[in-house]
Amino acid sequence: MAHEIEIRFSSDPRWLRPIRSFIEEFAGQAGLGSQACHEVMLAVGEALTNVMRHSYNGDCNQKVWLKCSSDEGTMEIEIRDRGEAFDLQETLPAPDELRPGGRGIYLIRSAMDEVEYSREGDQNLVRMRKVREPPAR
Amino acid sequence: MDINIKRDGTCSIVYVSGDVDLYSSPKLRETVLDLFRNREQQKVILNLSEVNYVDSSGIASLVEGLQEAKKQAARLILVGLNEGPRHVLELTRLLNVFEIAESEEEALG
Repeated sequence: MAHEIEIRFSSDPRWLRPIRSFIEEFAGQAGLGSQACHEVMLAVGEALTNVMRHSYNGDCNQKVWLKCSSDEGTMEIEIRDRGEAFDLQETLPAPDELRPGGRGIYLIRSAMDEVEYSREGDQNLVRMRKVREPPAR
Repeated sequence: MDINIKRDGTCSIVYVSGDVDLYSSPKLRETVLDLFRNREQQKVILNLSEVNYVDSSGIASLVEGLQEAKKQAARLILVGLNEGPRHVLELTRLLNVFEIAESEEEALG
């Protein structure tokens, strides 16, 4: 059975925790296993952090749109914002480089099966997909 | 996220509980940097046994803490890593970069 939920909220980091909880719950109801639920929650948290820090440069009063849908064991998430364009091709710093930042995008890509970024007019759109693993035989 | 600190001479144990994300990580960063920069701590043990979620901004705070420790010829030790934070450190290939102890006793020894 297909499900879809769309929410809008301000770009304030205080909303990260409740939204992650909602995402984890939604992923569970979509039939994803506990590891996959955690990975989806991590990816959404990182994508929203990216919007708040880089698209909106820390401005907490802008709008963010989040849409979740699930169908046949696949969960899709769309995140939209009206901030500055960003690069979703960031590479992971070498461990011995000890650079504080630059790991969020890598975490998103590691956690999800598909990640796409597009700039549509004045909006950034990130689409992510997680597919439920077939039950072990 | 809550932070409690137990100090004994030049060693501090920092008890962290809750999620470490963009909202809360600045507090952790300030706490750790303050201990190294202003309170001459030689060893800071971060007890993360009540933390189940760390994001990239939390990782950035830990990396900054480690940088500062190295600068001051001091040690930052992580204790009580749960599965979630451990997984994030593994994914970012930082698990072997940090000094990790299985217990406070081991970290204190």
